[in-house]
Amino acid sequence: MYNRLSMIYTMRNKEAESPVKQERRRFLARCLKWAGGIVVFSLVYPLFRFLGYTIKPKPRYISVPAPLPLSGYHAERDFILFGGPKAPFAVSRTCTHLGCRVSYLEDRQIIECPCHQSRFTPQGNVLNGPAKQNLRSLAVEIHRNDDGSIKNYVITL
Amino acid sequence: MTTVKEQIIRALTHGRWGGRTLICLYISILSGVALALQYNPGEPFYSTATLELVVPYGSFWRSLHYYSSQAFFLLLLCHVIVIIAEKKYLETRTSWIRLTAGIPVAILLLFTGYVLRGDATGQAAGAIAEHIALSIPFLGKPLNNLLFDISANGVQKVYVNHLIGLMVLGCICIWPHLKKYTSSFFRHIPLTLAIFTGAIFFSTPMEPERIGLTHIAGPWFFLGLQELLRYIAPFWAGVMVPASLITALFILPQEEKKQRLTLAFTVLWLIVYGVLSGISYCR
Repeated sequence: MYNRLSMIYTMRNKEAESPVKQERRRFLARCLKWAGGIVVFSLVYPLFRFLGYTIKPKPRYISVPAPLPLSGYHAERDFILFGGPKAPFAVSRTCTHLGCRVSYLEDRQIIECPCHQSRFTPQGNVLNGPAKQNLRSLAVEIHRNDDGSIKNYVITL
Repeated sequence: MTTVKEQIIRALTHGRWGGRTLICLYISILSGVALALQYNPGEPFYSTATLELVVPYGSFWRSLHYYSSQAFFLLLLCHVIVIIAEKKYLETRTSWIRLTAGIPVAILLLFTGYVLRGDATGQAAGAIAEHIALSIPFLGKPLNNLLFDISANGVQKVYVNHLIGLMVLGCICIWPHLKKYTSSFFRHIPLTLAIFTGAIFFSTPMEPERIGLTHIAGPWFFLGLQELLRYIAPFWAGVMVPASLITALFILPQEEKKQRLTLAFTVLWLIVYGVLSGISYCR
């Protein structure tokens, strides 16, 4: 009974609707879709901007107390500090190939990446690939005691 | 009289692989939730080490999560192989693609799990994944921001994705399949017992970082890719090569001749990847 009534109602409605009304209905539906699209875009855009923004990490200052070990180097999580013949220098431990953490092999006097075996000199220059770029050099600041002896080395990351 | 070969094929194809896969997934999810309540992404390695050594039953929960996840992935592969062998593809291409998209999501879930360990292997795997993501033209940076961003934020995003993002994505992929097929622990008691027993007697691998470390082997499914990265650029080795296999899987349900070609490509791909993994393992 209900179905029949609703069918009659729909048919009457369709008959009653003029082409102008139908056109208006279609126009309104299209407007609604566009409005929906704009709302979605206005939400998606800030989301991507929010997620895409990278907050710069605070600079880190890592202090290594002097004197360095007799081996002449000191390895930390992110860098290796060498005493050097003239002045101390530090290189990053991040491999320039794919970012693995490199290690200093004391017996062979080279820095090697454990992932793909790229090799570097202690100064960070590429000896053989797959890495193509040298390791990043890091600034080393020397802090001295009153008597002029070295107190510690400060490495900026 | 059936031959031995026929019996083996019947045993393989009637092996309820899907049900087994699902049971392992359930165990993996439940044990993962337990682990997540103790894990601290701010100190990944310290957290893993304390879970393993200090927290009561931490080693057991870690092993349960690790072995159930590994079993899930291996059984999922078996399930897919059997489905392909029997040609029981889904009716429409869209539903097939939606379902099989769950495989790369599963690989990413497994992979992010390795990264969260925070040990030497995990850190190296994370750094490599980040570089591979960044090598993608245009999309690389936003994708890395969304998935990894390890160098800037540690494992925070990896943790969120492992727990929520990838899980939701995986559920979206397999939901119609899950509604159709269910599985019960009571029908897989031997498998459930095997995983629990394994978790009691075998510990989960962990490789602390140490000075002078000369070789890091990635996760077993990553070995071939690790070897390939030695020879070709990260974008090709890490994106295009794996993507070619996924694409082959997506387009598999097609007419007979084309399907044979796609299958031949898939088999060749797997053989080459297997050889590369072998080389990498022997290094």
